[in-house]
Amino acid sequence: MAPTIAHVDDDPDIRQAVRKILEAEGYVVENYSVMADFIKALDTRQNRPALAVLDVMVEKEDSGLGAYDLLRTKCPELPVILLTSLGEMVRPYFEQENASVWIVEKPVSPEKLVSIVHSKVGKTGLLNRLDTTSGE
Amino acid sequence: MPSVEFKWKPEWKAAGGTDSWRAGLHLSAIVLERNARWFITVRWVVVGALGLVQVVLLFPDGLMARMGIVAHGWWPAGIAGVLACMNTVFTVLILLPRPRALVPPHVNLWAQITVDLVCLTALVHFCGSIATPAPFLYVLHIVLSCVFFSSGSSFKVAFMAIIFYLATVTAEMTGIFGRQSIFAALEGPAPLFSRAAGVCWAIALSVIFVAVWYLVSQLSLVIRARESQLIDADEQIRKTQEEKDRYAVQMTHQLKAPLDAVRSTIALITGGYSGGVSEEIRDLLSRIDKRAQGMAGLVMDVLKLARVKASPVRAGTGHRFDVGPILGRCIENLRPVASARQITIESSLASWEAEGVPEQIEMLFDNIISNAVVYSKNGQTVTVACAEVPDRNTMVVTVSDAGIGIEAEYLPHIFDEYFRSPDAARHNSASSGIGLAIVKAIAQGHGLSVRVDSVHGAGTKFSIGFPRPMLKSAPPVAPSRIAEEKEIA
Repeated sequence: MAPTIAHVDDDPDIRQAVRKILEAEGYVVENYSVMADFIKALDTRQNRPALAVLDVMVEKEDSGLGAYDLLRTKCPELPVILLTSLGEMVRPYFEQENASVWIVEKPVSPEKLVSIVHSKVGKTGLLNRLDTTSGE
Repeated sequence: MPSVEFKWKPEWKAAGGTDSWRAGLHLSAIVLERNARWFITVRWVVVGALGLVQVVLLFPDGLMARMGIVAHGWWPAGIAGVLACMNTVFTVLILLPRPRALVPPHVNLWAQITVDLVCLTALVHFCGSIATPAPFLYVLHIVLSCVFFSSGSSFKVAFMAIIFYLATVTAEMTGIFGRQSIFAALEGPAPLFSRAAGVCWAIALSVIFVAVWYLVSQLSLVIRARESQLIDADEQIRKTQEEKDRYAVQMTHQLKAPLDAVRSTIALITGGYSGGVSEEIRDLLSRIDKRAQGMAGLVMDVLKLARVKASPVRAGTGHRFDVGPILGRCIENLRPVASARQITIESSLASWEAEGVPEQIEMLFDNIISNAVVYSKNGQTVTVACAEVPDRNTMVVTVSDAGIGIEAEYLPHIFDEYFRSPDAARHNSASSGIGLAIVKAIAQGHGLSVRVDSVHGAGTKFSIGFPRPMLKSAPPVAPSRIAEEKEIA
């Protein structure tokens, strides 16, 4: 079964871009417009996503970071990609974080996003098949 | 070759600082210990002075004797000896870690005050409690206590001084101690002064001691109130600065987010995620993307500059870090951009330590090296080299290109905000004109010097001087990298 990737962003255009790029790679993408919905979904569902792509400035700055802290408490092992307009400028907010957080600056670059997602959760069966086919 | 060297003075004040000032108001253990150390130093001076007096008094026909001053016995040496012994004990109590933990600074300080007042009382007695100005030395202690302690504590010192002085005068008038005077003319079997004079002196000096305590402690309260207001103002400025930074971050996000959405959608279309597009459409999208990129870059640069300016590096507050890996990371990050235009980055790196904010130093290198790449022509080479200048105790990083160069007339203005020379604006229309202003702000904050040598049409060399580097023995990594890069190129 293809890994599920959760994506939280208040911008519908960014949500659409990430969904299209990752679905083309064979991943299942769940979009959320606010962090609160994502955290609520984590409480109700049994299978947790393999990766979360978050915009830390979603909602207000503080509530976004506060929600991120809550997420970290609930799922400390969940790999996270911070997809943010501010890029490395948000690094000081995550100085204490371990290596499981990646910061990627918007706009969404398909090559960069796919490369990082592959490194985090591995390629999907679809992609492996495509690789094999192209190799032949 | 036209060149200009920039050396900006840091805006922060290295000495003193708000923290020590703030601590002084609250008389923390650190401040009390500092005061105790100061008292110890002053006391050694007093010990020396008393010893000198004793030596002078050893000569019966000396200067003091000719002035009519005499001393009975060895009391100056005795008092100096007691002070020296107690001062040694106080010093040990402060310097050794274990006793310091057992004897808190405020206990140490009060022990010093008590010993001082006892010794001063002895000195007053031997000099003459109502025949010389010696009792006015109590005033010195009262004033110092008003400066260093709270009103309540300083009143205790004033009260102790009054009690000690009254006890001395009373003991002398009742015959417990014999009356003394260092003035030979007042010596003799007859009483030096009447009992009424003694009572008058005791009352008058007690009133003076209380008056001095009141006036100086009130003055001290006013000064501390002003200090408190300044600290509050400082705190208010800090909070305002934080609010300003938060606002800048939110504004940047709000301004850049739509551009990011536009560029993400363009990437989606040009990446073929929404079906094929004609070359003409692809070209138009590329133009839109480039303009949006320029605008997004400007927004980010404004935020970076605001942040660097808002959080200057203060002496002793930065981290110590190895600059070499940061420089190497910057070069590696820029290699794809350079390679896209067949530009080679040759590097000769070293390892050394600097103090400051590593992210800002990375920003500085990123701006200078990316400028070198941007203003080079396709297929040219950018060189990054590190070299120690021993006689100036400086590590210099040079970033050289053979690109468009800078006209001599514009060279002094390149660090001005939003400044772009006409050639630079033509060569790179997406430039914000803020990159080198960021470099200036960072260099200013870290005390770095920047020298720029440039020949219009032939290239530019930036030399960044890091003062007082602590060099490590890491070898340069140049040869293999250069060879590798040439192979790629």
